[in-house]
Amino acid sequence: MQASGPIHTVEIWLGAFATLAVFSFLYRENRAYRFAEHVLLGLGVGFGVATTITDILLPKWYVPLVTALAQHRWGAAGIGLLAGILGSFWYGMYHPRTIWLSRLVMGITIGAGAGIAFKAQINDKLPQLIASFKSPYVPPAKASGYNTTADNIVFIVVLTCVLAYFFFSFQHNNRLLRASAHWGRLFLMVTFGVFFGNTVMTRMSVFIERVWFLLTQWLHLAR
Amino acid sequence: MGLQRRLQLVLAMASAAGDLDRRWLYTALFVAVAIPVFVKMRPPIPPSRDTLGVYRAIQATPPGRLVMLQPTWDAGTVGECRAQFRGIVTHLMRNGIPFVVWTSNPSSPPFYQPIIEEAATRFHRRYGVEWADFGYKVPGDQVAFAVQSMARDFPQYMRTDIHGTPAADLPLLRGVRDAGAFWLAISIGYNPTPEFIQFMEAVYGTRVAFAAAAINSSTLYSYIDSGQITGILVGARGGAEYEMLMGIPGQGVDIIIAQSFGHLLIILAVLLGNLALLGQRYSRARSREE
Repeated sequence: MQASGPIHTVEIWLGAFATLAVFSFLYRENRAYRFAEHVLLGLGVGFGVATTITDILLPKWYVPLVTALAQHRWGAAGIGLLAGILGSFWYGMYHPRTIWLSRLVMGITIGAGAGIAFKAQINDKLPQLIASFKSPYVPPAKASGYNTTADNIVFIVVLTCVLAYFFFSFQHNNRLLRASAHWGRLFLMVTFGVFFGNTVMTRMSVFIERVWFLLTQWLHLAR
Repeated sequence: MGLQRRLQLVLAMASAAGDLDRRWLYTALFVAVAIPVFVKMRPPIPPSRDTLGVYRAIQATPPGRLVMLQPTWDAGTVGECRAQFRGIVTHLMRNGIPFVVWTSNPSSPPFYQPIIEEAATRFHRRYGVEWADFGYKVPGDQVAFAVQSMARDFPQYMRTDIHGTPAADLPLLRGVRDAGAFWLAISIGYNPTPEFIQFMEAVYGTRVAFAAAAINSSTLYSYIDSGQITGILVGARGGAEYEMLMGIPGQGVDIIIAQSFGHLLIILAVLLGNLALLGQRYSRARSREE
């Protein structure tokens, strides 16, 4: 569905101006770049405040509270009011005499966050720990691929070496421990290389999307 | 000219290139990634195992079972995630698999909604019966609480869709209570939502798949190995592979081809940079000798 019309044209021109203004930083720092940067920051903050009011505060707190009050559901209304009072405690941090109020809600938030994180980590990491116990030999009948045994051996070697690298309980005087820690460091370097390669890929995709936008949608040079 | 003389010349040239203004590299990169705009190319893009994992999970959805989509991509990740989302939505619509959409990023709806509407028009799918959009529901930093709550009681948490229709009144959600009603949940964005694994897959057995920006994909592979997710679409490559699987080559394929040209240039620049370093060392050694 291709949008058209004067508003779409204005959108394209604004997008092109913003893209070129940001790209102009690659030449050197300049006013167009700074203007685009400040516009982006302003839009981000304004948009964030507006959506917090329209999409969070109103539908999740104000409307249920007003509805509960209108329907004389005092329990629900009480919970809504309590949430509003507790939420307003956050603003206590702006004055030394009321800062203790913000600490109350901070404590509640940290407690709830820690509790949910504990549960989340168990559900998240435990299956991975279990999955790391692999057999160095998989009979062909049970193998999911022709190289399952080789995969498992590589996995076990890499896992053991990396764990050895992070083993700090005593000095690495033992030759075997020293060698495996050394290999562990090399494996980690390979992993960081993979991370960096993927980083380049993402940045490149973002850049290409903008270049293609300029060439095809703004300048209509092709397609 | 002897071999040694030639080598000296190459190193001297490389040494000079080492002082190249980086703006020339930016220009070269711009030109390199722009080539496929003018020269149409369609090289084969075979799907990887990770992409097939997502495809097969959707393909295996039993009739009538729901899929949950959580797109969190926006302007900053259009290049990575738009093609992924388009491929997945096309697959769901084409197979007539009912799905719901919600997001934890307020700037995401203007980007994902046109894609769904386009696919719904193309495959004649009815809103409220075959798909529903709940829009922006929760800030990204509160998503752990949100996923846990919606997994427990989806209609109660969502309350209303983007048109203000109560969730319980949508034919699509008839009989839906908790996350057990969802066959598959897919998080699509710069950094997908691991809470789907922690509070849906682990508790209700809902299958989970991710579509992520390449930059964040490395840390997600362990979830495939442990069987916690069925697959990942990795950046523009994953999007391109999915587009090819669906037979709708589009932006993902275009980007991945342009990316190949960009990567070639980067590899050349790395080689040239190393050669320049060697050349400068050689020049310094020569000047010390003289």
